[in-house]
Amino acid sequence: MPDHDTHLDEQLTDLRTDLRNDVSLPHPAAILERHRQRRSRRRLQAGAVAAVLVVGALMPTLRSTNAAPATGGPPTADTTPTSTDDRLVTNLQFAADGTGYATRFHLPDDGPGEPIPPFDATLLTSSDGENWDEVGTIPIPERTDLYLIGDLTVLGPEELVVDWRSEKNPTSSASARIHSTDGGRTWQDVPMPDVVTEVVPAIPDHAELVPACSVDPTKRPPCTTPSFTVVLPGTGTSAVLANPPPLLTPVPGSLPTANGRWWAVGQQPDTKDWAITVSADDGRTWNTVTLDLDLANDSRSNNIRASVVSMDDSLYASFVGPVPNNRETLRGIFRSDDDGRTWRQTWTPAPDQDDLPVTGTLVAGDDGALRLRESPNLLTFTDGGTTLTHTVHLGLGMVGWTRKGYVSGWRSYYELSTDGINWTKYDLPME
Amino acid sequence: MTTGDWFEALYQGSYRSFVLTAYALLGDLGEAEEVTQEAFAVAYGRHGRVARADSPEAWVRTVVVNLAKRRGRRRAMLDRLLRRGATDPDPPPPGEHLDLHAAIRALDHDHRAAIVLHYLADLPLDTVASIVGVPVGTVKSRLSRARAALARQLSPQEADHA
Repeated sequence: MPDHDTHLDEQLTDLRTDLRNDVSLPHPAAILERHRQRRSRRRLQAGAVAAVLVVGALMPTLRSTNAAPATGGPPTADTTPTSTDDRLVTNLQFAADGTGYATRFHLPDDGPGEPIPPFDATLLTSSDGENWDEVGTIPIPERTDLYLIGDLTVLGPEELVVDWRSEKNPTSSASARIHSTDGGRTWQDVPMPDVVTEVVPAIPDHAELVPACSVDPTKRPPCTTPSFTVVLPGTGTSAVLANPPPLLTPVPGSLPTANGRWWAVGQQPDTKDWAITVSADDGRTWNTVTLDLDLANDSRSNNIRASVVSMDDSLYASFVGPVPNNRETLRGIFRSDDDGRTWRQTWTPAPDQDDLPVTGTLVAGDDGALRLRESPNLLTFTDGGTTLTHTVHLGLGMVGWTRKGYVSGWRSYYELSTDGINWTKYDLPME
Repeated sequence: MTTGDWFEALYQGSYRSFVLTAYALLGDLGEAEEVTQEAFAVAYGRHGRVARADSPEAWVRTVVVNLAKRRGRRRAMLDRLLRRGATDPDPPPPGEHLDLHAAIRALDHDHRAAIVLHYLADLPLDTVASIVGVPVGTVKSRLSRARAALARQLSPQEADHA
């Protein structure tokens, strides 16, 4: 009987891991849109008894992703009263020369009888990161899912692409892509083949890496083999590397580190151990090293969050992943002094360490400290990444890495840091 | 996400656990995801109150549980009205543990909820007791009976594989 008990416990643990991995985390924008729908419904319900009855009768329609439009069509931005609360900036990127672009979504109120209306998207641009102007509307593909996410990739001062993905699988390949070479004033559709056949020997200057996968709709999750492609300047098309990282389900940084190193994390094909790989020659060759992360081997790429930064002549990596209690927390800080040929773990969580679910990018400061900042945690690693100082600091947004520096915030403002220490807040136009 | 910060940390850290909590009560992963997203939307609209709560995580989990129970009741009522009898939730996600998954789904509601909440959502016994509204001793008893039932259902399969 004890053997049976142990076996049952093992099976339950495996099933728990499988279930958790089957649950993909929707993009936060989906929660915002759902919140907006709730608010809209509550306003309608407060209107009049008759209105309440109408709304109640139509609730199934409002909730349905495939409901047919009501007579008269959905409201448009021109006819629907708008509020800055309904607008948010979800993407902000910079070209190498400092030209900034951001996508601002407007989520108009939905009236009774309409399905979820299409939001509209506006492109913003700035030459200095401080003063932002509207460029124009970004074309949105016909919606095939309840929520769509528009991911912005900036390939040059005047060149950018927007990838549209389903929020249900935000790490999957884009379902549609548009490309602009005139700063977003005009857009062209980019063919998105199911299988990318173009091969490049190296990652070109100004290119970015974006998620991709082979989609099998009969499986959950449908993105069965997460990988990535290179978005090529000039055409906005996707290509694969001639010599890709030798890892299963590699998850790359979309941009190189400040000293020009490309990186990815993933699992070793034979052992399924988690590993990090670094290229110092634009993706032609990769240095791959297995890390002792104390993570279950059945952890998958969708619940591992890693970042790599350069500081002085070293690379530092942070890993956030699941621990036995199923919570995702910081599992280690690693350092390489030889372009990723070898790594050593400089910080390991103590057994009684509180969970540190910090999911943003590691920030390399000009003062020699590394920081992970995401409210309510501000983690500062000093002494070469070995000593952790943990303070509680509210109001810190998740950090991302851009070609201009570290950015945090978004929605109606963002913060920028070029030295990893000082942050400057800039407002974004929401009217 | 604006309230960014602590809310996003809660979202990133607890979403999957909440889904499994709702799954314990609904038996349907898709509905559980729907309920969990709705709960986070509620929490986002009341972020000031949630932030002041002793435990924002417990606050949102309570909303998840309440929404799941409400949805379960509504579904049961519709089933009775439509004379369909027991509901037939979506099939379980494909995986390597179909036998165990099927065995859990074959348990009655109370025993399934105890197993899923404690072993799959990884909640402590007192939290499970609070969610299902029974004393901790009853939860232990249900877990014990549920484990025995699972072992009985799984053992023929193992014999077949041997």
